[in-house]
Amino acid sequence: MNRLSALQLAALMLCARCFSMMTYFPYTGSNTLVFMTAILLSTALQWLLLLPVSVICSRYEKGVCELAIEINRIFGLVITAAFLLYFAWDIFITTGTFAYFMDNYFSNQISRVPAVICAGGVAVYLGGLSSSVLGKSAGVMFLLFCIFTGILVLSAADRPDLTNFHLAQENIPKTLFDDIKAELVRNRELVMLVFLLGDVKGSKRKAVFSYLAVKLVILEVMIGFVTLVLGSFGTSTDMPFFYLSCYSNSSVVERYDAGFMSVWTALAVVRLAAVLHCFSRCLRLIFKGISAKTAAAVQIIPAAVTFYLLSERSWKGLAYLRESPWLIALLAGAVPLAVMLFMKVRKRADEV
Amino acid sequence: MRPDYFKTTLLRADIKGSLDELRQLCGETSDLNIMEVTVCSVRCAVVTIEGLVSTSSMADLVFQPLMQLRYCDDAAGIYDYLTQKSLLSTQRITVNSFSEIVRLLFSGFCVILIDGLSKAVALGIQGFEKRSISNPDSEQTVRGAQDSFNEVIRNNLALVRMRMKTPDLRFEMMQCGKLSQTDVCIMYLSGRADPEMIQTLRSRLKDIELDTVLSGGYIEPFVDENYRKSFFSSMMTTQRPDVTCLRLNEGRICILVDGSPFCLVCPSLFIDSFQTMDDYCTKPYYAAFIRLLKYFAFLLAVGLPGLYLALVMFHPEAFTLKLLLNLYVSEEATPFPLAVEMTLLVVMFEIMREAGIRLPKSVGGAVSIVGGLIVGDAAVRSGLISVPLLIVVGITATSAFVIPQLDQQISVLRLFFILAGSTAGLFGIAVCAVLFTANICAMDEMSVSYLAPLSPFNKTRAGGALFRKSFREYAKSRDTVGDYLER
Repeated sequence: MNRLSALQLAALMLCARCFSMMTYFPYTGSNTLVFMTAILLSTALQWLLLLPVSVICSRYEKGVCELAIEINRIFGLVITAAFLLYFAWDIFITTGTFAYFMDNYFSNQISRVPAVICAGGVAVYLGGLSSSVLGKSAGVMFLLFCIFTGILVLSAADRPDLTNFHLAQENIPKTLFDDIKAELVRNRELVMLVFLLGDVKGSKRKAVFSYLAVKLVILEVMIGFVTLVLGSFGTSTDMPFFYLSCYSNSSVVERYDAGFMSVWTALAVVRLAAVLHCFSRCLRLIFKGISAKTAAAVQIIPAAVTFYLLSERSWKGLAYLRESPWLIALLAGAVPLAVMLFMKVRKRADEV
Repeated sequence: MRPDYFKTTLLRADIKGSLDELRQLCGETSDLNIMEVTVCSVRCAVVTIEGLVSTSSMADLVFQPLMQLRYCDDAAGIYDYLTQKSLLSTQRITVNSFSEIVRLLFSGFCVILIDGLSKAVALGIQGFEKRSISNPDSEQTVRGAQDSFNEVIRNNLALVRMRMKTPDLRFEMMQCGKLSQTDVCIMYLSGRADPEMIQTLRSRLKDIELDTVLSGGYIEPFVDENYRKSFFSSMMTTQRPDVTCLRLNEGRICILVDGSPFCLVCPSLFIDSFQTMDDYCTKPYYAAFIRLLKYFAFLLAVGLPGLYLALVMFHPEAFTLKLLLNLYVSEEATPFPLAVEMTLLVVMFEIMREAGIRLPKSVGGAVSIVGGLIVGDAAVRSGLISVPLLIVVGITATSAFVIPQLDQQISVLRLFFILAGSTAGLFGIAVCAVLFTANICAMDEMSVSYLAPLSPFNKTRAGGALFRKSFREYAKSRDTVGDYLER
C-alpha cells in the first residue's frame, strides 16, 4: 500500500464532496447569506470534529481502526465494524443516488441498470487499487471539475444580479442551526477522511485543513454564484448547480448540462471507489485472512441491495433522506477522541 | 553427450583434441574457419567465423605478426608474445573454456589456439557488415542532432560516450538469451541514478530465461513491472543518442540491446512523451507553446471521435443551432449509422497507416495519396461518409502524429472512446476517462510514479511538464528522477 500525500487525500475528499454538491442542495428555505454563514460555521465545526483524529494520526502514524485494535482487539473490532457498516451504508446510498439522479434528471437516455453496472465496475477496479492511486485519480478528476466549473462560471457570468443577495429571513438562529445540521449531514466523506488519515505521509493537519479550506471556498463561491445568476430560483431549487449548467451558454456551446452530467459521473465513480476501498480495508482488518480479491467481491453486496430497492422505485425517499448528523459526529469526532484518550491512559500506565 | 557438456569443459593442451571438440560443438558448421599453422615449430590454429571478421584486419593484425615471429621456441613464448609483448588488437582476452571460445567466435573474435597450452587468445577483429549511422526516422528534430543508433551495440555505446565524457558514465555489459547470448548493456550515470534502481534492473535482466533476445521488446516485459497491468508503458524507447544522454543526466537507466537500434529508458514518465530535443534548441516560451500544443493534440487524438459521437448521438442540445443544422444536413445524406461510419473510417485509417509504415518508403507515399485523397474524396462524393466526420477523423489522425511515442496507445484508446461515446454518450466517455486515468495513475515503475511530477504533485518540478527551464536554472538545479521516488 503506497501512502497518500496530504493533497491527494484532500482531492479525494473534495471529489466526494463535490459529487454531493453537484447532486443536490438540501432545501431549508433559508436565504443565501444565512446559508453561506451556516456553511462557514459548519466547516468550523467539522474542523473541531477532526482535531482528535489529526492529533492521533500525526502522533502514532496509524489509522484510527489500527490504533483501536492495538489498544484492545475487541474494542478495535467493534469500532472497525462500525466503520464497515457506515461504509456499506454509504456505498448503498451513493450507488442509489447516482442511479436515481442519472435516470430521473441528468440523462434520460441511459437507463439506470447499465449505468450502475458500468460505473460500479470501474469503481470496483479503482477501489481495489492502493489509496495512493485513488488519491492520484481523484486529483485528476478534481482538476477536471475545476476546469468545468471555471468554464461554467465564465459562460454565465454576463448576467449577474447583486440584488439577489438580501437579508430577509425569519428566525435566523433556528434557520442557521437547521442549515448547519443539513450541511454536516451532506459531509458523509468525513468518516472516510477519518479512516484514511492514517495513510497520509507528511502533515495530517495540512490534509484536513486543505480539504476544509478548499471545500469552504468552492461551496461559498458556487452558492454565491448561483444566487447571483439564478436569483431566488437558485435557492428555491434543490439542484441549482445542474440548472446553472442548463442556463449557461456560449458562442460554441448552447448548454452545459451534458458536460455537467459527465463531470458528475466521474466524481460519482471516484466517490464510490473511495468508499469501496475503505469498505474492503475494514473487512480485511476484521477478517485477517481474507484476500484482496474476496474483499473486492464482497463490495458487490451493498450494490446488489441497491439494485433491489431501485427496482422497487422507492428510491426518492432514500435519495433525499436527511440522516442524523450525530452518526457522522460520532464516527468522525467521538471515536477518534475515545481512541486518543485510551492511548493516553495506556501511555501513562506504561510509564508507571 | 550432455547439452551443457561444453559449458563446463575446459580447453585441452592437445590442440588436435581441442579442435575436434570445437568442430563437434559447432556441429561441423560450414562457416567455422580453422587455419592450422606452425609458428616457430609450435602448432597453432587460428579460428574464426566467416563473415564476422575483417579479412584485412586479420591479415594485418594476426597473420603478418605471427608469420614474422622468430625468437619463440615454445607455446608459452608464443602466448607471451600475443598477450604481453605485442599490441595486435584493442580487445585481447585469454580464454580457457569452450563456452567462452564459442561466444567470442560468434561475436566476431579470432581465437588463436596453441599446442601445449590449455588456454587460447581471442583478438577482437570484428568486421561484419553493418548499417551506417543514419537520421533518426522515428524521432525527427529540426535543430537537434541528426544521428541515431544502429544495430551494433559497440557503435551505440560510442555514440553515447562521445557525448558524455565523464568517468561517471558506466556501461555494464551482460548476456541475455540462452541461445542468442545477446549483448545487453545497462548505462547509467554513477551518482545520479539510484543504486537500488540499478540493482533491481540488473537482477531483472539476469532473470530473463528466454532462448533469444532479438530486440528491446523481448526484455521489456521482464523489466517493466506494469507491462501486463497497464495500458501505457513505463519504459520509453529512443533512437537518439542525445536523448539517451539527456535521460542519463536525469538519473534514468538506459538499456541497449545488440541488434536493435533503439535504447530503452527506465523509468519513463508520462510527460516524457511530450518532450523532444527541439525543446532545448528553442526559446523556453516556444518550447512551452509546443508542449501545450502536444497535450492538446493528445486529447484530440484520443477523445475527439468519441466526443463527437457522444454529442451528436446523445447530446445534440449542446451544439449551437447553426452548427446543429449543418451537422444534421451532412449526416442525413449518409446511409450508415454514425457510429458505424466513424468506426469504419478510423479502422480504414489505421489500415492505411499500417500499410504506409510496412511498405517501402517510395510506395508508402503513394498509399497515403490513394487512401487519403482518392478514397476519401470518392467516399464523400458518393455520400458514403459525411464531410464533418471526415474532418474529425482527419484532425484526430494528424494530432496522433504529433506524439509518436504514444502512437500505439492512442490508436487503441481512440477505439475505446468511440465505443463508449457511441453506446452511452458523455456518460460512457466519463466512465472510460476515469478507467484510463486510474490505469495510468496505478503505474509505478521502481517506486517512481508514471505521472510524476504532476501526481504526486511536486511544486518545484511540476512546471517542467509544461515549461522548459532556462539553462541558467538547469545549471543551478540537479533534477533527477530520484526526486520522485516514493519509497
